[in-house]
Amino acid sequence: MAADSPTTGCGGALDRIYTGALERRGGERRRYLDEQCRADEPLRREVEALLDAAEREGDPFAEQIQAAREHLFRSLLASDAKAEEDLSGQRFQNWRIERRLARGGLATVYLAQRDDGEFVQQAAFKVLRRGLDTEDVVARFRAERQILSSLEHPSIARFLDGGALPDGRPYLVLEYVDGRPITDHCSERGLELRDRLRLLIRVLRALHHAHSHLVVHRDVKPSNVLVSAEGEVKLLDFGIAKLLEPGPSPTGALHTRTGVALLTPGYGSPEQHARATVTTGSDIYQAGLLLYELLTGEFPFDGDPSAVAFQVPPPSQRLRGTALYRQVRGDLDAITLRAAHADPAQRYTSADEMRLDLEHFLAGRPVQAQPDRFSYRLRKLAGRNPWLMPLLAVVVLGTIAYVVTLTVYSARLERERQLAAAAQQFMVELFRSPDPFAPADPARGRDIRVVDTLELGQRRVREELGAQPELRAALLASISDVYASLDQHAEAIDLREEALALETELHGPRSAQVASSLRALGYQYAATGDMERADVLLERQLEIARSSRGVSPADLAVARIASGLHEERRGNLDRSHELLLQGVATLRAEPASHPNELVEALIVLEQHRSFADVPIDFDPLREAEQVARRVFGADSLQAALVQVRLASSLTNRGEYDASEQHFLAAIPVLEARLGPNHGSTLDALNNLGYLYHGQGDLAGAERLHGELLARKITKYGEQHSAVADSYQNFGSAITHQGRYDESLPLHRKAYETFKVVLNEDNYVIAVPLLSIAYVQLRRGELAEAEAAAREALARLQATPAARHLQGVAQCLVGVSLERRGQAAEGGALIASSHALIGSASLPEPYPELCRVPVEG
Amino acid sequence: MTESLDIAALLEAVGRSEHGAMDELVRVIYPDLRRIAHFHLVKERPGHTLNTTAIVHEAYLRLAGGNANWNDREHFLRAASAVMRHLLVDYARQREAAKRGSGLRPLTLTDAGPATDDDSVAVIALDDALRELSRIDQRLEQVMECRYFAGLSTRETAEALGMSERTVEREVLRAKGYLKRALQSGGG
Repeated sequence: MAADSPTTGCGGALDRIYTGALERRGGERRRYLDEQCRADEPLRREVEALLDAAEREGDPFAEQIQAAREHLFRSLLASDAKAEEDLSGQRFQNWRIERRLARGGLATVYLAQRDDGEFVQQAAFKVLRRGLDTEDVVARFRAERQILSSLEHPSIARFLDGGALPDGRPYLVLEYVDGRPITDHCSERGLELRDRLRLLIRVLRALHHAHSHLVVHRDVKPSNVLVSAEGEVKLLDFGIAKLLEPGPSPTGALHTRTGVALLTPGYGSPEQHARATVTTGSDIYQAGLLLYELLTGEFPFDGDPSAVAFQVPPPSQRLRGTALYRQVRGDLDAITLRAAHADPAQRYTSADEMRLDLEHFLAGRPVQAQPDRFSYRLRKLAGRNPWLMPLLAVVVLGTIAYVVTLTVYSARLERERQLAAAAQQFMVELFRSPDPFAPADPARGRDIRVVDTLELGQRRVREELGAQPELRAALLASISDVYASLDQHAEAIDLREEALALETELHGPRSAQVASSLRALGYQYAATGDMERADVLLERQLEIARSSRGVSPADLAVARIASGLHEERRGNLDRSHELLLQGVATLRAEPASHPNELVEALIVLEQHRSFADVPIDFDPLREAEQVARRVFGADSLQAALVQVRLASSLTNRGEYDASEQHFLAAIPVLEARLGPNHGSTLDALNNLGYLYHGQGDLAGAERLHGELLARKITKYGEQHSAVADSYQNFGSAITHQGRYDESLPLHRKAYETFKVVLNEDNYVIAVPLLSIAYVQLRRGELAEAEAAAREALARLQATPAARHLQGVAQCLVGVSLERRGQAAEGGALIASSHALIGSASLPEPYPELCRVPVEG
Repeated sequence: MTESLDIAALLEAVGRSEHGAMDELVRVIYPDLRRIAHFHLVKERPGHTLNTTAIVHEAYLRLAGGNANWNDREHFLRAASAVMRHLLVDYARQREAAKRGSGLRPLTLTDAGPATDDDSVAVIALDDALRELSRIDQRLEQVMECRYFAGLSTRETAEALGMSERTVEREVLRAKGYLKRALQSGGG
């Protein structure tokens, strides 16, 4: 340091002022300096220089000192090596030490030659290092000699001799193996997959031999599996780990009594790390890790021992994008996962079993490790679940369903982010195992895989995470969301209820987590049609959000929107509108935080504007579109789902071209990402059909709806509202082509199915009635028409949801009255129906029929 | 545990600049540090850096033998910092001296990967700088010794020196001003 260090000058004063200045900022600091330094310019400059140096970014020393630390240790250790004893040149019993080969954790290995004049033999001479030879270690060493000498197998480095050095330290003489660690051997020679597996098979034979002699290797890792130049496999260090029995230690690592860490961290099986009983299973686990390394060239856990407690990821994951991916995916994944399963009970029970599976694989036969296929029970959700949209009220009813879909995807991603690294691993592996979302043609085929995975996930969550309730709750909630996205609402509800119970216990009944679960549960019940329970739940979540401290404005906004959407579903338009506006006002400042809720709210507000003439001073549709594009990206699944919603809204506004554009962009994405028979895909197609209808392409609409109907019946069976909806739409397309005889039974079917499947007070039941009334009018069945129209009117009056539909019903009553000769009454009804219809655009032929005044 | 009492007493002795105290401290701690470092080195996979902080901690646990209490840990962390500084500086001075051909045998570095000259220079410069710092305030020297030479975190430094984390942060900032300024005005 320079002699003219500033500290040697007016050191005391300088430091005092500098320290004082550090604690002040801005103006305060300036004033302080003015006071303290007075006229002393050089002093002030010096202080300012110090301040500047302190506060500027950059640490000139840190990196170098760290590097120096490291070098120090390494070089000292290297010098240790040189300073260590070297027995080269000495003779013990029948062996002559030639040179030192390696220094291991406990022992040093030398190359030795047999020296009894009888025959030539090279050997590995292993001696415990000085200071590590306590009495009990030595005793065990000797005791195990017997066992080791009984192992004779071509793939096991043979035990040749044993003895003690003059100073009492024991030594072992083993067959000398000149070879490379198996992983290096494979990569250096560029061995192809099948050859690598054949090598591993030999290792497994060796392991099995040892196991049948009750010897557990305990340290099966690449450096202990050598392959000679001729391709011979030899397993080394057999049972050596067993000689030095693990005991408890403060760090939790396996230590010998001398306090020295033995086990190679990262390579041990979970139970070894947990210091539980070690059995042959841990050798199999390590064989699984070895398989992983042979397949991918990498260690699965990247040296982080804490990851070992959880499941090894499927090796094919690391191989994505390579030629090997296809070969490894599936059977080899399954074999690896089974061998290296975190739960010993789930592994192969013997090395032979694992070997056989590998041999099956090589022979192209089925592999034992693949999980059983469950039979997929598509439950008929009788009486439940409108994911659908009847013809005229296309957009309104879809609200809840879409929010669930959208929220599910982002909630799942969000949750995954929030989970601890270990849990994240769990869920991520679950969803990344063989392509769960890859589309296949029959919905059955694809969904089974996911359902399998989910069932497995549920089991594991319950079995493995008993001690971690918070984690369990989060994972159950995640799995629930995925069921929901697969239209499996019963399972989704069960799991979500379970998660809710846990969360209530963990965080309290008025916590943010509980509110969020209540919300999700509310959506689920609404999706299955249980509106009463949904009401209660959504009301409660809003109340919690309103009155709990620690709830952010964004959370409150989301709670409001959830309630608002539900009110919409129930037909309480005013309340819905107010809540949604409040929610939007808050969320639009930061659209990326809860984009799904924001978009959904905007779309429903748009409906209020176009259907119910509620004035809004901004354009919700455009805003929704922007948010979706900007937040999700133009090609994402979320953007596609939102596009479908927008397209449906545009259809209702009569903007057919724009609408068609969005549909045609979005539907391929849905078909690819969700599958052709996923609820959301079918809904989108349904709405496209409605578009065709609106455009006047009735033949196209008929084709589309007919196809949809068939798909839905296959998927859901007959008693399902989605199917009822399709009957209705299919019927309408035919009605409007004038083929009333064909269409009437279809509308009837729709009506009857809705009656069975929906609650009695649900106005959707009225929709096919309107069609029935119309068709009957056309066929001249006036009395029947009037009856149908009146029933429809009654149903629609009970819920104020779609006034324009009420108007249509009323006008149909009026027209049937007129045609039966009651002109005055009929006419009056028709006239007053216009007020109800308002400016809602009705599809042909209603405007003419109802004599809706044309806007001038 | 007798060993930890020794450490505390030794530290005090070192603080009093008692003759031979540092050597004694090094003798007590160093073998464990070394042995544990060895096992860390053995277990590590190629390309990973040696986690010297972990080594220090493990050494502590090893010595404490499961009877760790806060006082002992404090003493140990301080001691380890002092020892590491001593070792690093010693080592660096030897290298520098060897380069100038003063006749001291440098330690071989065959297994160690390249040690740059900059590192040794930095160590020596820092050592000098810290001694200068101690003339202003001994606490500054101690804090930076923990932070730099032992690689302890803010929290660990706070523990080792019996300060709050906030205080540690302030002292670090203060020290950095001096250190960087010294570099600017042309260090040794």
